[in-house]
Amino acid sequence: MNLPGQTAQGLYLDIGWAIVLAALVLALLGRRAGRLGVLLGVCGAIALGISLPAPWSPSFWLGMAFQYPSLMLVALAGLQLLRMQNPARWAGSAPLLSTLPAATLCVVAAAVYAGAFAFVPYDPYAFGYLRFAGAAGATVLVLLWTRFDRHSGWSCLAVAAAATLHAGTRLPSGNAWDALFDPFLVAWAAFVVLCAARDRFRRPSPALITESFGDRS
Amino acid sequence: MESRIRTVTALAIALAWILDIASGPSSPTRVAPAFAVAAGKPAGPSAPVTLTEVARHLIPGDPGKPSSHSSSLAFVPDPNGPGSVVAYWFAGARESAPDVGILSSRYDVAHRRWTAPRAVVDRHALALEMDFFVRRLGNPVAWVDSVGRVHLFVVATGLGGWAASRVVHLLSDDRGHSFRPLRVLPLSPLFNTSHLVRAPATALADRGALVPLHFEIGSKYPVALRLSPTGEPVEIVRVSSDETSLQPSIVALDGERGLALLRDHSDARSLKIAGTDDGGRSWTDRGRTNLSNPNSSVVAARLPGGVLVAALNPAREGRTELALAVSHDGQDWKIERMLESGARDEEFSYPSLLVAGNALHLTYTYKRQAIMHRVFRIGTLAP
Repeated sequence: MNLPGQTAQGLYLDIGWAIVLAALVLALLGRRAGRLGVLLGVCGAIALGISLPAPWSPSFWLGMAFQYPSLMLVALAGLQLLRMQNPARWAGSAPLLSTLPAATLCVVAAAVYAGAFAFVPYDPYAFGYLRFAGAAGATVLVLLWTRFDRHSGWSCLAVAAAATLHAGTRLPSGNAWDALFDPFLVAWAAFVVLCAARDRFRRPSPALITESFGDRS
Repeated sequence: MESRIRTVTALAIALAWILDIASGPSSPTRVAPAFAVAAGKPAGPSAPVTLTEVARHLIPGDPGKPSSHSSSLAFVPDPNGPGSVVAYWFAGARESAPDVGILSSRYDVAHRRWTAPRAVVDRHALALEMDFFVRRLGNPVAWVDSVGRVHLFVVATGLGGWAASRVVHLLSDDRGHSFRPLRVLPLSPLFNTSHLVRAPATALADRGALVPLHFEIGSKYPVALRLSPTGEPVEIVRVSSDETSLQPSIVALDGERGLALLRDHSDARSLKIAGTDDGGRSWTDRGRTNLSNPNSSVVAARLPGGVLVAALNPAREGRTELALAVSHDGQDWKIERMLESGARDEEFSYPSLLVAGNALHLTYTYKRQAIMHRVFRIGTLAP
């Protein structure tokens, strides 16, 4: 195992949660987040809050409950903030977490969580400590997503950034799985998959549309 | 834009590989470990032993902390002296109380007395150093590495009860007097929660150790964390596929073979074991022993002659009795002596064993009020 130092983890705890919180708050604000003043105000307030001494800093409590956000979640949140800087430029752009990456994350996380709860006889989490686990995992994901999901550009960029940061720093925990996903990201991915499934069921198929028009003519 | 994102992605992936390759081997030793016992000594029938009690003390506690529990012993060498036996335990107003901290005391072998307790770590100090809040502390386990530094593994909970526990790794460069946190051991993908430590580490031939741990929430299963000679985590292995086993205590039978005694969380209430034939790299379940276990912590140690000794609560229910048991194979145990037999509401539990020279040191929770220390001289019976 090659584990990160405590100082690096402490810094990442603050920076990681600050980026995630800023993206979350701005997402909740909806269209108002598009104004530069709101964007800077929210980011500034969160940066100020996170930098407060221990008991008053949100990261002090988030760390107790949830430890560290995954690098992938932080990367996606960072990309979200980047896109919010200039909403007009990114209007109509592909979603940050498209369907295939979301579904893949759900499947991988389900396998790892099943191992953690001993629902299966193997423990994939231990493989996350292998030296090339992060880079290899990211390579497989990027190849898979690029091949089968043309909207997955942002997800590929986020997973590549997460793998690079993990390789350079071993953050957040030394385990590659913790760099690639966390329960919050998995919840987001599950939401994306459910929305996609709902849209698929709601949208009438081309065959039905033809049939319907045929009946009218 | 799409092509630019693709280019940056490809470059980032390439950089990840380069950084991984440049970082060198991830751990100092990934060779097969072996237990630190006399090389080539065959396991199996061994000379009968005698245990003669030579000392008994209540370790002085902190008067402001009336509840004491879960002690751990370590022999800390001293380059300028004979070294000392050090006990660590947690104490406070009650278990899980906000004032619970980890205390330590040293045993003066020559004068057979313990020093006044010393606060080692409390949750507020730990939280400030770790940068996140700690709700409660428990179960310290000490281990001394190949260069004499003392490692302390402490249970620290996050949001929730003991099932929300994490294991904090602390290090002392001054023979166990003061500690600084190194990290929370990364053991679980679920907010890194629900692993606890309890029994002492088992020495490996490379001067590293196996630290026994267990997963607590829902399924309860034991794992072992292998440490390098300097205390760096090397790998984690699952010790049992059983889902009602916790608080493993690992003991070597010989260089390659070892056993883990397992606290039983099932209704069967009997002591379970798992075994390894490759120095702890892989484990298989070996069934149940002939001893009861009232869902209570058990520890085992290997005596110099090869006999195994365990300290445990021998009744099917309750922790009012505490006993020493001996075994030659780890499967069949014989109660060697009863150590305590108390009234219905009295508790004698969470023992810890340490073999130092020809002495067996035993500590355990005494009525939840103090830590009892008993010393036995190890002898052999003429055949």
